[in-house]
Amino acid sequence: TLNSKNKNFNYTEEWMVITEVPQWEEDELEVAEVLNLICNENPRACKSPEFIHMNDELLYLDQSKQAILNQLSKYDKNIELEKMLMKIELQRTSLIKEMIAKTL
Amino acid sequence: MSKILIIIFAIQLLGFEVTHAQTKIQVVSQKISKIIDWEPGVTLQLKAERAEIYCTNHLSQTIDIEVIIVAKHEDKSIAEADLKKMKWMVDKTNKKIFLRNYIELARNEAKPESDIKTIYHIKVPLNCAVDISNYFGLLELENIKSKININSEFSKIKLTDINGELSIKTTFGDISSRGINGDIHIESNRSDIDLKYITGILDLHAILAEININAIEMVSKINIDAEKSKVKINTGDFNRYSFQFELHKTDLITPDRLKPEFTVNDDELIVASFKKAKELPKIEIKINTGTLTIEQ
Repeated sequence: TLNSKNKNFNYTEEWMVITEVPQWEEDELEVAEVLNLICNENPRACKSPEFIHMNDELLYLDQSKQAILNQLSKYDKNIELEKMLMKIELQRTSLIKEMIAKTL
Repeated sequence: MSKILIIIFAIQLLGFEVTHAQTKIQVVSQKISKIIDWEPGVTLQLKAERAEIYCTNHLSQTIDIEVIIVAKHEDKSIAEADLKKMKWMVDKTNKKIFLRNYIELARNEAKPESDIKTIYHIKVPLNCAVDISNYFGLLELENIKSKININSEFSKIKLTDINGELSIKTTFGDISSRGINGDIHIESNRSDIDLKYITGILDLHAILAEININAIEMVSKINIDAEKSKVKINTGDFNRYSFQFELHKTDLITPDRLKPEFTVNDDELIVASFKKAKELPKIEIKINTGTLTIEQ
């Protein structure tokens, strides 16, 4: 039963300080380019199951990061979302370093 | 006048905090209430997104639902238009009462600019099985005696005084609980877990988690299988338990008086046990990369 057409809207007002949604570096493309360059130098390392697994993991983190970025709103404090983004960025950083180390 | 301007400029130069301008935000909300008759054997299933869900037991044989959809924007007409994009439905079959909220966009319709969320306050009868999934938001369950199934993504989970069979699958959704009695099964991906006062059996599988477990005097079995995680268990008196560890690339920290018997103990692998007596509650822990701390 779809019943959200029921009017009964309530109108109130709030005061808040609006800050633009914090900019989180979207460096996924740059990271992918760097990894491509490195893999061109050492294709064998990048074909290993371990590297492929790490790459899949990185893609998953990138998608999760994007999903969270899409939820950020300037009308919300976004506290919990920013904590999640921080965790993801730390995991991404650690993973990228590991991937680069594998190819050197 | 010029003296006043100089003073204001000086204050700003000295870095005194200047109050940020506040903006008036229009808040448009819609409240829907529903009471649904319940019979034993019927499950409440809720599929939510961008939702705060609060659920508890009551003594009636009804499922009482209050749904509030809220949209915030500087422009009232935009807030109202965006609110209408959040749809909510309820459906009843023989064995299930199904609730759902979701954003629905018409062809070429822009996605909402407002901050929109849906808030559920739900009361369910004792022994009414509950099956909740939430994508972004918060889930709080308190004082529930029943079978519970939770599927959470990017949604924090808070549990208080839960009795029954509990199954949780969570991704990027931290779990905190105080008082769970029953058969507990948790699968966690990148979600921290903080459990206090557990009675019954705990089976926990986790990846990339910080796990803290306290007050386990009434537990009958704990099984933890974790990867890239930090696990900390406060056992109280550790002599009350039988421990089994299998730790790969994991640091083990135990109280001085806890002397495990090591089958393997090298840089890469630790296999150890402590008090293998069958009558004692078992704590079995397997970790691949991380730390295990046993405290008393």
